[in-house]
Amino acid sequence: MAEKERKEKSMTQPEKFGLLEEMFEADAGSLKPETALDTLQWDSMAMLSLIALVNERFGKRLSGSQLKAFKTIQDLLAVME
Amino acid sequence: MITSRITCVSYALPESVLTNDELATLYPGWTADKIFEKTGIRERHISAANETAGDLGEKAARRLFAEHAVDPKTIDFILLATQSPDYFLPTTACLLQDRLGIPTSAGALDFNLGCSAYIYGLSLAKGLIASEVAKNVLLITAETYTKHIHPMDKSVRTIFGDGAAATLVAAAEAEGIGQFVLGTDGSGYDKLIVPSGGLRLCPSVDTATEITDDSGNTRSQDHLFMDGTEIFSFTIATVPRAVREVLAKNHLEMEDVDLFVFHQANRYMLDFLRKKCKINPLKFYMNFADCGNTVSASIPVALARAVQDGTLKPGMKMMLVGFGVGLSWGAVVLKW
Repeated sequence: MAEKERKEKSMTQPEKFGLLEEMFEADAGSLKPETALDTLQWDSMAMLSLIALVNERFGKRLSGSQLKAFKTIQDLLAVME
Repeated sequence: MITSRITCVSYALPESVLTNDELATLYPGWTADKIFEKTGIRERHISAANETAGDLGEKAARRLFAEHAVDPKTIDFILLATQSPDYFLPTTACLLQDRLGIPTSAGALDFNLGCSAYIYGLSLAKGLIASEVAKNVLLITAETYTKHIHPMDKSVRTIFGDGAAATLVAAAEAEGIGQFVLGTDGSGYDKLIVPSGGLRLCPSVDTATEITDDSGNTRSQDHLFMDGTEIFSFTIATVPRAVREVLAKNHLEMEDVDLFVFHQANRYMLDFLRKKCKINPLKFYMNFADCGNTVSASIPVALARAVQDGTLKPGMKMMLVGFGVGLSWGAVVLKW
């Protein structure tokens, strides 16, 4: 499967934080695993960005119900693999 | 086998225009620039209260006859796609047969599809011509989604506009319309839906009850609902695959295609799809800033505009891709 070939399993934790900081337009080092999403700009546009990012980098499709269940940055890190 | 080609396309938009400035005054925290940045849309055309998809379809067809010297007497089949029909019954295409002066010997039918409808319509027209049922098929895609939209639902009101297009598909000597890839995933039926109004859920005081969701958008079950994240997720998974499949089916490589015209959904989605499919931006046509997403009319409106501005020239190989409500999708390669 072409989708699977594009998976990048080797991404490090700092790299994942870098992508999320870029997505949320947050300062480097400002996000922690326990950071609550409702303290960030976690709106429909951010959800689209995450869908796009996870699709591009990890070849996975996120569902709307998954997205709505996410509470913290840790939940996002968990799907980034 | 008898082949077919698109001979000409014309379109019509309602007169009234809804600008980003007007929308920004309704939605706290939104500016006209922010709406444009996210959607790539500056204004949408809105049908008048007494103006229907049938009316817009008639207008588009009359323009087709006038602009391209098409005699309505030569039309022997009318295909009309809409999800905002004039009546439950009769069929809007039947009304247009009479209003457009098309012979009573012509066949006519409506089909209910949205953003994928143009591709399906071309496949039906090709089939009717190949089976010698018809020689000149008038394909009308006409939509007034704004009638389904609650004024305070910015998730859809910023994106959709009304419009109609008329396309003549005719029997041809040389190959015009190539091979299709079509697909359906009905499990996503509720991701883009008007819940009431059909016979599953009749409109009532209950269905008219307005609810404001977590994002601050207000609607009732009588209105259009779009789960934007689900639709985006579906699209970015489905469209790149359809693009690969339709190239293979037509024995073509990406570089062989001169122009790509996707359903003109919104800029955010189209930018993502273009990059994901690795399409050269110069070959990727987008022209909807002044009309928004016109659903089934979006691809033919773009085709007519691409002809007018000189982008689309005779002999070019094009790929058309439609995707959305159903969920439903389709792609085709054709020679202009």
